[in-house]
Amino acid sequence: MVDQAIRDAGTRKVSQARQRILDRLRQGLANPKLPWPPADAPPLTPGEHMHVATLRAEDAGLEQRFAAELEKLHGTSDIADSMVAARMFTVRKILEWLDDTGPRRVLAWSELNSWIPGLEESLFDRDVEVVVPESLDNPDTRGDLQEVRVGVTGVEVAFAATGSVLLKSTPGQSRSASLLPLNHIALIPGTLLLPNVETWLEQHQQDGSLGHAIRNSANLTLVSGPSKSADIESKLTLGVHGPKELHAVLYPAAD
Amino acid sequence: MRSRIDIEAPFKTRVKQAVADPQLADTLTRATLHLKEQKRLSLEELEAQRLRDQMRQMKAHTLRNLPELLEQFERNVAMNGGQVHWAEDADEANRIIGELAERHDVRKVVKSKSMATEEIHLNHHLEAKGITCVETDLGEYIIQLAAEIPSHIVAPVIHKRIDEISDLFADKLSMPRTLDPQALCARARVELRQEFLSADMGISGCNFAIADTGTVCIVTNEGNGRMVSTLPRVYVAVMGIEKLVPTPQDAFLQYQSLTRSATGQRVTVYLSMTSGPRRLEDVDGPEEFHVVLMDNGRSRMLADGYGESLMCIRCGACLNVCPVYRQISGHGYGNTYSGPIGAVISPLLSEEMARNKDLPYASTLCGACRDACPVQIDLPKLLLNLRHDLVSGRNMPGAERRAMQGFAGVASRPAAYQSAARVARTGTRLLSGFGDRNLRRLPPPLHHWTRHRDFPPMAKQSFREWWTKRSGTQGPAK
Repeated sequence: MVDQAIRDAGTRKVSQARQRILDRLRQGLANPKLPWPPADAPPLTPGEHMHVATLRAEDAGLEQRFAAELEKLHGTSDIADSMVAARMFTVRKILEWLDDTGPRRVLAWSELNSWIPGLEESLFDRDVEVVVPESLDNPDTRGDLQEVRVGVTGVEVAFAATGSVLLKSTPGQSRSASLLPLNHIALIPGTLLLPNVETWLEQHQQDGSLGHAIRNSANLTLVSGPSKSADIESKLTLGVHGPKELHAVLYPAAD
Repeated sequence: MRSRIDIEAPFKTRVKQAVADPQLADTLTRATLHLKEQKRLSLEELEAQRLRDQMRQMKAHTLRNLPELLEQFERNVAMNGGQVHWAEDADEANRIIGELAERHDVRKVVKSKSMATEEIHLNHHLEAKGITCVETDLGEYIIQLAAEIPSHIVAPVIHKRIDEISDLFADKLSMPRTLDPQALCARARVELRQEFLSADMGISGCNFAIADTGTVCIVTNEGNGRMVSTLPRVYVAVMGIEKLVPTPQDAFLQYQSLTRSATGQRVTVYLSMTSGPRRLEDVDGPEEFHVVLMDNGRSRMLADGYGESLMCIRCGACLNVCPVYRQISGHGYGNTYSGPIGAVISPLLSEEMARNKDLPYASTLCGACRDACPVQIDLPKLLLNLRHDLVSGRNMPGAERRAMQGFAGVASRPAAYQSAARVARTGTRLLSGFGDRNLRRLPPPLHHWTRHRDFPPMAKQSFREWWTKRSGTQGPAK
């Protein structure tokens, strides 16, 4: 009873704040002479937004531009001309990153084979365990994963003009795989590589799926290069909280 | 070493303390010129003015429709499984977050950089309840170790040299002294990783939020924003009510305008977009997602004619071009928000007018801030309006008001003005020893003026005298 009364009082107060804020805003806006131009600006309509970062005429291909942009952001990449080459590049990079002292494990999204066929077997053959946690709630699991040096993920989509990858959280696609390890490798099939973010927005806008694309997962993260900071005397430092190295493997969608 | 500026001291004392620090202006000038140059380079490659115009249109439209957009945002956050809380002022925001923390038995909070939570002094409030707050942005972490407040909107520790930071890590973390920034950063990574993994609640600000989808966006380079919104059980985002954008396309426009204007980056390393708590069977992510929509004076700004300042995207570009900021540092402003935008909004936020009545004068009105602003906010105009409102509110010191009234009397009568100008010309030239040296001190009662500024000696002859001599006529305007 008492709890209920407190809750009611709390709700009343909250709704009062809400009402008062909205009322004050509406009163302020009722002034016919708003002191900022343009007074009645129309919304920017879809398609009207400028493309901020664009592809240049001299860009030979999306893969080359992506690689060049990522390099400016202190990331690295391999451009593979076949699925087999992609698998080879990926395994080679992972082995290079796994040092002798740490555990031979990678923290990964589920079903790596759906990104590059045979990748899981190739890693197994080289004694590398692929860890795909179902949940990271258990503190022991979390502590355990602290030692894992390498994270392996696919992408939702990638953008060449800024060297960016968009990552979506879903069951099987943890946020942690691209966040906790010191090194992150992102697998990018050609079908998922677009010129820039505006192209992706326009595609979804046209088929009416933009809202869904943004909100149908709890989290979307655009990642452009490894974690960095310039807080200390404007000097670049890498790997502040997220990965210190980001490697992209770009490859054709099918052989 | 602690900042030499006492945040609680009166404005003029703070300015004196800032100007007395021989290295501060150098450090700030170097850092702000670097940011300014980065911004210039990153905007050179695109139609910068078109971006500014689109941003202006989008922000003007948003403000005009803010009540409806807020309601829409609230509905969409709820549909995503999150909860919106409304706070009229700092106390209410703190109370809401404090109650959330108590309900979830929170002992440790990890925070990513947030001006909104600085504005309401959230850490102080939570710590009074026995809750540990850990700042996780590298710069903010250093600030917290030093027990200071940020001195720049995007670069909180811009006023500190690396040797000072090294001393701080040696003192607080028993780390051997080093001038290698990567080593300092690696140490902070280890310290803070443990905090992320053991915290019960993550708190961030919000760079912008999408009304259409109920999505909160935070922009970081280090990844701490991702950590606080991913690892703890509960995630709370605190945002001013003006942070909304209508659509996802608007959000990405603002994102790219923000990164280029703030640090000259085409993109930051991370843009985290959160639409609610983790979904069914997600591997990770918070179990609960809360948004605190905070007014704290903003709706009154709109009503009182300062609505334009609510278009600000907190990029800090106006700080980086401001000659006053460079001399007095963020701490000179004595508030969460510094620089030209801080001089406008600090007096207007909440009940801060009395303490901040001097801030609108912390500007030369040179206009560089207006030219730098990615949303084209007319900061000099807002500062002038604020001065006007303060004067008509009779907040001006008595001596200064009488002096200004006297000047108005003389300046509106040509004959009186010309004789007074002759006296002033001779007087100031006498005082400067007939050189071009600026006068550090005028005789009483005018010494009040020179206590905080130099006064240039006046020219040998007036413009009218020069014109008469040159053309033989009586001057252009009669």
